[in-house]
Amino acid sequence: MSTTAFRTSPLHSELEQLSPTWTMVAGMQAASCLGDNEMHLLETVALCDLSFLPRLGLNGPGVTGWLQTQDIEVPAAMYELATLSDGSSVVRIGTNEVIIEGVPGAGTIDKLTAALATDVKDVFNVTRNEASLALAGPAAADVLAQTCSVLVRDLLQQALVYTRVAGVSAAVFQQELNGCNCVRLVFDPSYGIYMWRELLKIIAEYGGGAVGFACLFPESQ
Amino acid sequence: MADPIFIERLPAAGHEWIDRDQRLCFSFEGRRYGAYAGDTISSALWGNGVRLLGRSFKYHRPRGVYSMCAHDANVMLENGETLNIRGDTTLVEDGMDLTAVNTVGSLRYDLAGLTDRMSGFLPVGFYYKAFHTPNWMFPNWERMIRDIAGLGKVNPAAEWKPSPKGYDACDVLIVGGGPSGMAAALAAGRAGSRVVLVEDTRCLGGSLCYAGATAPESVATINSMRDEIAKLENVEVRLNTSVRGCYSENWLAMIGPGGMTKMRATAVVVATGAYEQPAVFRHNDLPGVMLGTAAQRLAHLYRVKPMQRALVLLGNDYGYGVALDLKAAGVEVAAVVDLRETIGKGELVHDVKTAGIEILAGQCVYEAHPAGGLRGIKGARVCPVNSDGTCISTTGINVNCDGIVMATGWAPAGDLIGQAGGRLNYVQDAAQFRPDELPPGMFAAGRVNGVFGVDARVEDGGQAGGQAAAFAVGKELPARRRPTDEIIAPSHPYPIVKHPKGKAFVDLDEDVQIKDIVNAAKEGYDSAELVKRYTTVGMGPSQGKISNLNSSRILAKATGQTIGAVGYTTFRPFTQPTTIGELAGRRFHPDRRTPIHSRHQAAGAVFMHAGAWLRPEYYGPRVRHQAIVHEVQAVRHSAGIIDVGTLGKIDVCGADAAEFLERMYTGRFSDLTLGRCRYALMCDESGVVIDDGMSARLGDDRFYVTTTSSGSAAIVREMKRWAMIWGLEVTIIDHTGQFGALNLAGPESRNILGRLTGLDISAGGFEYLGFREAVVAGVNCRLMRVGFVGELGYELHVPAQHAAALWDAVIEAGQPEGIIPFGVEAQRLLRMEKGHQIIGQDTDGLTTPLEAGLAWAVKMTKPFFIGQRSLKIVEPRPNVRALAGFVMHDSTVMPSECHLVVDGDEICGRVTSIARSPTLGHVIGMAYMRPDQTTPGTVIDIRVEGRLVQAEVAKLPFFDPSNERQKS
Repeated sequence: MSTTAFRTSPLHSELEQLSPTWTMVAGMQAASCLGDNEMHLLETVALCDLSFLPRLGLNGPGVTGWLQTQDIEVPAAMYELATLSDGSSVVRIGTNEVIIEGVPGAGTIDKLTAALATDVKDVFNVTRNEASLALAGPAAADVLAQTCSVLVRDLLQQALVYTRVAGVSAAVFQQELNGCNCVRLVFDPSYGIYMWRELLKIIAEYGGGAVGFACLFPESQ
Repeated sequence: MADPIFIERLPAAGHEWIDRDQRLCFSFEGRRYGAYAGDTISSALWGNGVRLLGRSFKYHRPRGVYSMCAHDANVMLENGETLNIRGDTTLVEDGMDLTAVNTVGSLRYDLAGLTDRMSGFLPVGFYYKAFHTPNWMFPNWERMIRDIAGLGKVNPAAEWKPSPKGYDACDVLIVGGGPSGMAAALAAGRAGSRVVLVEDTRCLGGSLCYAGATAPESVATINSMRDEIAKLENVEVRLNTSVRGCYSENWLAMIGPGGMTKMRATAVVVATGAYEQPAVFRHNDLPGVMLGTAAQRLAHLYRVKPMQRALVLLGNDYGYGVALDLKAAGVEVAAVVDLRETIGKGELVHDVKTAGIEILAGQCVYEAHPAGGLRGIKGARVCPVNSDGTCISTTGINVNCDGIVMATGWAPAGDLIGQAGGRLNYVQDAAQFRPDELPPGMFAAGRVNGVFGVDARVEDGGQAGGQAAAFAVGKELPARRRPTDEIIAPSHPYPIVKHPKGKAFVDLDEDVQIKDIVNAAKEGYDSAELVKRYTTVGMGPSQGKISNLNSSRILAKATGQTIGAVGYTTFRPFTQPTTIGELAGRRFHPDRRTPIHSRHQAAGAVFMHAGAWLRPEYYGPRVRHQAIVHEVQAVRHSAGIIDVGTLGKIDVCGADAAEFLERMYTGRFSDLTLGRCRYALMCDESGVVIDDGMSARLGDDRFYVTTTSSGSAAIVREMKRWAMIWGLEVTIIDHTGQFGALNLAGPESRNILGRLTGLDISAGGFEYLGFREAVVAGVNCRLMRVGFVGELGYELHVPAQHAAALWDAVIEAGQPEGIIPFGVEAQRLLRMEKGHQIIGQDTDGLTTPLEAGLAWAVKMTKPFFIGQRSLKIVEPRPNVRALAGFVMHDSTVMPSECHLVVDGDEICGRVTSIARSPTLGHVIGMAYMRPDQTTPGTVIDIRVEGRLVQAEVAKLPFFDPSNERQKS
């Protein structure tokens, strides 16, 4: 079985209202640009939809071993993020549960998904269609402090934290993208529109706003 | 328009808080006044000669400036949007339009002021004893008291302004920016701690900002310490910020200009100072009577002359400094009345004598003499006082004055210490409470610690800061010793003078008098907690800051106890009044949307909340009832599509997956074959139905289970919990938010689906309760042939990011058949026509499957399932009630859900679902009733608003009883 339909971001309807430049990335119509001067928003705080980044979840006692056969070493420590050679990242979120996030063009997720098409013992595919946002800019820490009890300055590099942001359970971690130190938020897509609107309300108070993904992934335009 | 009233101030001084370059104008009680930027409302009004600033809560007595720092609640105002503005601490803004709260008519002519004259009929606790008879009058009394009581009028139309809340953390939090707080900040900062220094006024310095003659070097001291603090990058100063509550493990709530900060501190230094305490005598509440520090604040910070001619009543040497400050401000000091028989020999006493101010030692103020309308005072009677505090009222002198300034002592501002679980003990020599035991990580410094001299406070603060810094990094605490303090006994032990005519107020907020506390003790309310609740002392907006200590003193004397034994009442957050808005913050209310939400919006859906989910109730543009009927008819005659993406969706995988489901659900799943799905009913351990759904087999070790929308989170939790307890080899994967789902239903649904997939969906190829995985419209789908609405139907589950594309494809494919989306209300009606229960609607917290007609789904012969043991116990017993269907051919009066099914006086059950069926042409419903009533044809009575209506029991399902349509 293969899927030929396009993917839709949970934020699509919100982005539509911002007159975006649409670009197809990893099978999703994503907003690459939201305005001519959007880069200056990174000087205060900017919010970016990264839901197009492909993700794969794996669960089961055979996960670590199977990924080794795919040349992927899963960190032993819980919630430790490791970056793979192609820029993808892998994190262990449970004894037998792993998430891999790909980068556009790397093909890691497609390759692993294809390898899973044949039944692999004790490895179960977990669909990961979360909403994924990035907060970038000097005021990102202040915005996060208003929504979440985890302080950015306490976030360890290369580590994931599960907490609540604006009342929604979310994974939070730091990531450098295109030279910007970003705070990434990944959460249940059904809360996508709510989270987007709440964060933008706060961001607007700092003079920030939404930006297209090209600010953080210029090579994917 | 008349020019605003503006009286010029005392000459400028370097330490003043007003900006004379900016003039403002505001209104108070209909008159316009001028102010300087930096004025508070109280300072501006008092500076313009306004003496009547408020009315008291109970007796509506005139009130003026008392503490000048909101330690009292005399000056409370509203502006039509914001209530209970504290005049002492709120800055004037240009254009403000203010009125006093708690008046009937106007502030000047408050009709409720009559209650003061009736005070004899309103003794302490009168409301516990009055208004009971006659009984019929009580609602009127209640309405009247509610109208009179309460401060301020809420404006429901006022615009809501969200107040941000944020988190922060530090090594050392220092509460209080006076000399001890600043010293603590310097010590902790120099030790390398991340320090946050919080001060609730607009600048550091605390009491040194207005100390005047009591601390001549104060300005230099403040400036020097401020400069040093500014050099430390690891010390953050937050002004206009107060700590409102201390919770477990040093989690503190702070409110400042940016809203609330939820601060977690490794160590806390409490340097909150002390509340100056009033003396108690007749008419001690009237405008013109104020605390010494209030007069100092007016004179030094706002350059307002506090009064023309003052009597200074004191019980400590600090008061002599206040007298000198008054004189320096141009006030004529008529005399200093020293409660102590022997006056001190300190420098301040000497300077007062040198200034030619008369000192009356061993005297007290017996009563203040009110001016007209009680709107001020015109003098006082001064009498000798015995060492035990009793006043010799038969001799004395009258002194003309328009102000009485009191400096009789202090009480530690130890609220946060108490909230943190610390203890304060009464120290006889100091005549006040002092911190005794502090919880780990909390340190006290300065006046709150009973240290009063400026140098001593600095030393004490430095020590506390050093200890806090050590604690924050887990080091051994440096030794601490009590500094040598040149100030001894800063508090008079009993500045309270009884008067036979009363009106000697202990608590100004609640109009509690000396006699109220004495009478309460006589009635048996003889502990601090009981006196508080019976008299309401300490229960007003000030929360006892300037009343609790005197109350304890009076109670101790009345009951023959020591003050230490009487103690104090429990400290609870908040230390200052805090608005609901500040607590609410931005009001995060997460709501959930399915991935198809935008399509519903585009189709004109009217949304409803189903828990956190937004779901289409029906689709416009028709009005509700017409839309629902239209949608029902479309599903019955052609095809409809509904978004069921809110359902719980769980993968259960692993070698023990089947065994796990056997135990979790009442039915059998180990024999469920590949490509099939089955109804799944779940009970709790008492056999009560808690959830249902469908379970499909994807493989030998993999099942796909759905749950109700509202139950999904709890069911996932329960599954993981039980998997852990049982130690089974099973993996639970929650796909609820990761998948979207839609249900295509109706006689034309097969034709429509057939255009989108290569899967064999003929009646024989994809039978009822079948399960398939296939590509539909280019999307990997899980398909179930289910019939919740009683028609041929297919439920399609897809990854969320593909759900919208699938929906679009199905809608487009169904155009020839006139497919329309249908909403939750149409679905509820359709399923009821089919007699299908909704868990939580047709079941309640006590319903077993045996009562709900679901016994068929329970396989009691299994080795085990959750709830089996309980069901085995109840199974042999006759049911008390049973769920059955009913119809009503006469629907003139239609019952609602929860209307009772009755038989004479007996309540037999209740209606659970009811609606007018467009398919059947009459009202149908489901209800619990006695089992013997469930025979079809039985007529039952349903009580509707006091009258009985009849319904006829009918066999379920109402529609398509042979199930031909859904199994076609």
